[in-house]
Amino acid sequence: MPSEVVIETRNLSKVYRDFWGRQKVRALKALDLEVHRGEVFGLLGPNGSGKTTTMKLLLGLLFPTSGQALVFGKSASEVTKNERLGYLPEESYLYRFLNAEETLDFYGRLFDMPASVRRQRSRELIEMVGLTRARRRQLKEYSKGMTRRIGLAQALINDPELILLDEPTSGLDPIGIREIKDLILKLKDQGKTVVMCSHLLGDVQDVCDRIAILHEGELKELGRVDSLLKVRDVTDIQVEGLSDAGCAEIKQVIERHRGRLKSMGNPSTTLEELFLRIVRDSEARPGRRAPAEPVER
Amino acid sequence: MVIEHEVPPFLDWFPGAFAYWVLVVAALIATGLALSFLFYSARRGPASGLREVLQLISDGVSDLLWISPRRILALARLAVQEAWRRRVWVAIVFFWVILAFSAWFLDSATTESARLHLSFVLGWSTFLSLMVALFMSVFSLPNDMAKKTIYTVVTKPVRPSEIVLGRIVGFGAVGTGLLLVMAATSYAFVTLQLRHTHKVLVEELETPEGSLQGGPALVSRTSRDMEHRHLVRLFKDERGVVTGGVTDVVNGHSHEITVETDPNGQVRYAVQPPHDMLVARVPIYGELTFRDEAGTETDRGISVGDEWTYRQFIEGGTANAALWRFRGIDGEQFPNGLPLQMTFGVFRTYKGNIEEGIPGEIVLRNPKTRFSVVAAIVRPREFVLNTIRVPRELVGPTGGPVDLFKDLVANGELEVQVRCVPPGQYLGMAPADLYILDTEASFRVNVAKGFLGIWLQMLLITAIGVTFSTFLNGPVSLIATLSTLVFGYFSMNFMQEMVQGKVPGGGPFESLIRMVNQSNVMNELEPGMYRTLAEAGDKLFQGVLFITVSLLPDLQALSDVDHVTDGFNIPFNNLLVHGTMALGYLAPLFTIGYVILKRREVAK
Repeated sequence: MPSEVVIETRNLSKVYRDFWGRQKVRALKALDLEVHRGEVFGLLGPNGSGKTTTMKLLLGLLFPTSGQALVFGKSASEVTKNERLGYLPEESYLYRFLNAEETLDFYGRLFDMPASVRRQRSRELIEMVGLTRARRRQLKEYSKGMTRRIGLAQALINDPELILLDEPTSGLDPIGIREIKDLILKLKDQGKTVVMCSHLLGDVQDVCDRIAILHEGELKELGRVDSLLKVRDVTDIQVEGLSDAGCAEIKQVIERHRGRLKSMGNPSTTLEELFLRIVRDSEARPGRRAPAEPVER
Repeated sequence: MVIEHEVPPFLDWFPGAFAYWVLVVAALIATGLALSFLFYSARRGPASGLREVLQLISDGVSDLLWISPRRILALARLAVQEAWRRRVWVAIVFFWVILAFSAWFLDSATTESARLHLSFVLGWSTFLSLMVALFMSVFSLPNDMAKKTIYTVVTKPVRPSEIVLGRIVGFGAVGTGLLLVMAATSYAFVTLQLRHTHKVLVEELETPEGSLQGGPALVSRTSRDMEHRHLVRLFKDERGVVTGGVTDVVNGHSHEITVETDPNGQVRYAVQPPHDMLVARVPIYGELTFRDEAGTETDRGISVGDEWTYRQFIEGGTANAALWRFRGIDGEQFPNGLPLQMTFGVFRTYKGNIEEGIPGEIVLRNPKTRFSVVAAIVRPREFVLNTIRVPRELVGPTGGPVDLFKDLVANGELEVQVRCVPPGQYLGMAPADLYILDTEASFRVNVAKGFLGIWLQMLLITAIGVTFSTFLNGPVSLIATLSTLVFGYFSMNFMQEMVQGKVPGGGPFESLIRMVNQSNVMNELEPGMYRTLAEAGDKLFQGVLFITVSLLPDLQALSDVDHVTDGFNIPFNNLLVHGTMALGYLAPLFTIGYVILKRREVAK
């Protein structure tokens, strides 16, 4: 586990008030959290649990009612922290009158990047998010998925050390979701820290090292995904190429050791896997119907 | 030209204005810090209040010191792109459409056709540029907040100061572009509309009866173009060859006529473009005093009961006179004599000959020796510019020759007296009503200077709009900025008079009592509780109004378009004073916008 703390919140609380200063809602209650360099951290919770509020407090978009939010050891309201940070908002809030190139050029300028670096970085990112053919189209003509992609590209324009992703997979098709998840893992491999919030639990499970579960503004659970999800009194065995006799013998072994066999049979793949296989096959052999037979594993 | 508020010389004006500016800005800063301290103290205690105030100061210094020109330019560029893609250019198309149809309602056949055309294009340019600045500036930031696009900006290393300045610079650049196009179009439109020529009707050429030495050798008429024609006077040299000529003044202009002879000996008369139409006169103004009926010098003339006290009057047939004292007059500067131009007001106690105007006597006097000579008798008509050229050689009271610059100018000083001739009639004078025409500057440059004044107004409205939009939503910012524009443009004089208690009938509370009682504004209110309460309320109102007047920009004062429309050169001093005034507002507006954006939560 890397030890350097990138994000730290201490007793972080946020109360939303109305025009007259009366309390409307207590969105976050005394949150204590640490995110370490190089990990993928997930903020989970139902709607209104305080995930997005936490993210906005970390970004300095909101001011805490009490407590502290530190990013790279600096107060969240400190502008200089943003030089090492990338942020993808919940919906890609971008200037719809710009095209993809202009968008990335604009955000690159905000980082004081020289023109040549901006151009190269824009080209790489547009290619990476698969918008090369649409790079000259105004964003108002983009589909939601395309907008998410360019939003992600703007979050990465400065090659940030810390990336905050708010519902990164929302609005994307299964291929896009898989690409985003692959990208998050790639960023992790590059040593970057990723904080994402989502209520799509499968996505979080696939990519996050650690998660925090929030409910009604309170931290309910915090820890490593694998240890939190581990079912300790059930053993899962997957064997390839086993004969019927072998199966029978294994059943006997389980009975002999007083175990209770819950299920035994051929596993099924996920719908995501099936969908991706069909699409890839269709792209490889256009015009032909993809085989419907079950996957051999 | 009417100059009600003279622009003082920059060096005389600046020290006092700067001291006042520092005082107002210091008061604003102190008020802002005190309010911040009270706000945070009330929420989290005095220690926190003090910490927040110190943080605000330290952040402010840091955000101003580390401001990035590249980021400002990026945000400015975005503002330009936004304005362009929101079709700001429609304003230009609208301007062109208006100009295209202007011939329907602009009359070229008047004495004031140049003023009419110039005030038309400059008026529309001012209106459109201010409206565009208003709408661009007030909706941009609130739109960013509403659509949350601001999230992706403030999460970059962008300081609030850069966001505010970027918008002001960006929308300022858009406004500048619009004004450049409008200026070029206006200049082309006015010159094309007014530039015209005529043909000399050769078949009507004749020798005038009783032609004198030095008078015209031939007279004729021009063809009728642009709904007018001129009388032509052609002159011959000693050999009897026609060398050229001039036309009379019609619709405020005349033409020079040149003569060309082709190889076959055929003479052709060419009428040149109009004179005195699109000009930028550079006047030398004098100091005006009056002489009363007893011959005593005084600083005020006679009031004829006009509510507008700009002009003081002199009575005809008395010793009453207006006296202008000019300084720095040099004979070498005026080799062809002294050109004097004047526009007087006229007040008639009886009708007289309404066509002829009221005759006035122009007397030149040596301020040292008191020797005086009658230079001319003019018949000024209201709103019409009268020009006389006093020759270097004059005839003295005894019939002897008088040299204008040797005998009447002493140490560069010259006095010009104006007397009204007919008894019972009055001529009205203001300091700028009579001047010596020094030279004529470039009209084209003068138009550019006029647009510079509009540019300053546009820039200020942009800054006000952006500042309001840092804490108000779009429609409310629009109302706030529009109110500032209306009050700053049209009501400054009235508000200043209210503050000084010069408005008859008192303030709003006293006026309310008068309205209810149907009481005349000239009568004192009866003493009593209502009067005491009304006076106390009005005092309070005056205090609030004083603060408002001190803070509101006098937008109309920033522009010198009346110089352009009246055909006068805009002095560089005016531009310097007005530019400094605009800067004096821009800096605090930027700071206020920055502080508000810094202290507000961008997200909800």
